[in-house]
Amino acid sequence: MCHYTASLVARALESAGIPTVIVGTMRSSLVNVPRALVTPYADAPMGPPGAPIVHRAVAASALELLRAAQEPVKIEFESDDHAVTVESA
Amino acid sequence: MQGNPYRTRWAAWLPTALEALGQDPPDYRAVMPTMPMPPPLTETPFAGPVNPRSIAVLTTSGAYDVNVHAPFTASSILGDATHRVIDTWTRADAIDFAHEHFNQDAARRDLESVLPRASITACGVRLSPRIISWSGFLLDWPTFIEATIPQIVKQVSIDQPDAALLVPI
Repeated sequence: MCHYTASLVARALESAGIPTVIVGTMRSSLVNVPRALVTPYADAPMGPPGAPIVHRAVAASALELLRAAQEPVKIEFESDDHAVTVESA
Repeated sequence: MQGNPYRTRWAAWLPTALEALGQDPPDYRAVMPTMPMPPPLTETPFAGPVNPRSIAVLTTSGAYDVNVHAPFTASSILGDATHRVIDTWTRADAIDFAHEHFNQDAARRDLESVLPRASITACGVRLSPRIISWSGFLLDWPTFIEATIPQIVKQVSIDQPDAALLVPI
């Protein structure tokens, strides 16, 4: 339900002209979202506690989505090497 | 007075839902599939791309400033459709969470795991002066949609960020 509320707020912000990116963990609950980065860290979407390198990598990936996405997308954040796979939303 | 079809549907659903949620334990599985949702948008608004110099952070974690705010009513079976506005650089030990539907251990051990502040600024992007927080478990969808979301949009817009980053739990 958290992800659904975030999806609604993201759509409202985009409609007001503010680009958004969601960093979440429940892919199927991210409905009609402009940009989403799906991470594998339940209860800690930015990464596990005490893992600043992961936090920064997630943040950098989210910012890159804002810069690069030309259409609505969901991206999987891969924790092993911080690589990402892009696919249409 | 003009009717509100969505609120009417929601009100018709609520008594049965409250009965199921009043059980011990609450029967969420019986309730959630029948819950009326707002009309789905067929299109996804898309305002981009952008190379942000500033960004607003929003969280569904039920975060609040213990020195300023009342906590969200986490134990209500209806959830809490309100929101809080937190000064972005509030000390970590003054931020707590009122949300019973996620394990808060990680967030309390390291705020950065749910509220990216240092990690965003480390990327060279400035943060808006306010963080917007709500508790992502709620059943009062009409209030959230009709009152809370418009307020959130206005409050984010005041700071004129280039973009917004949302972190649902």
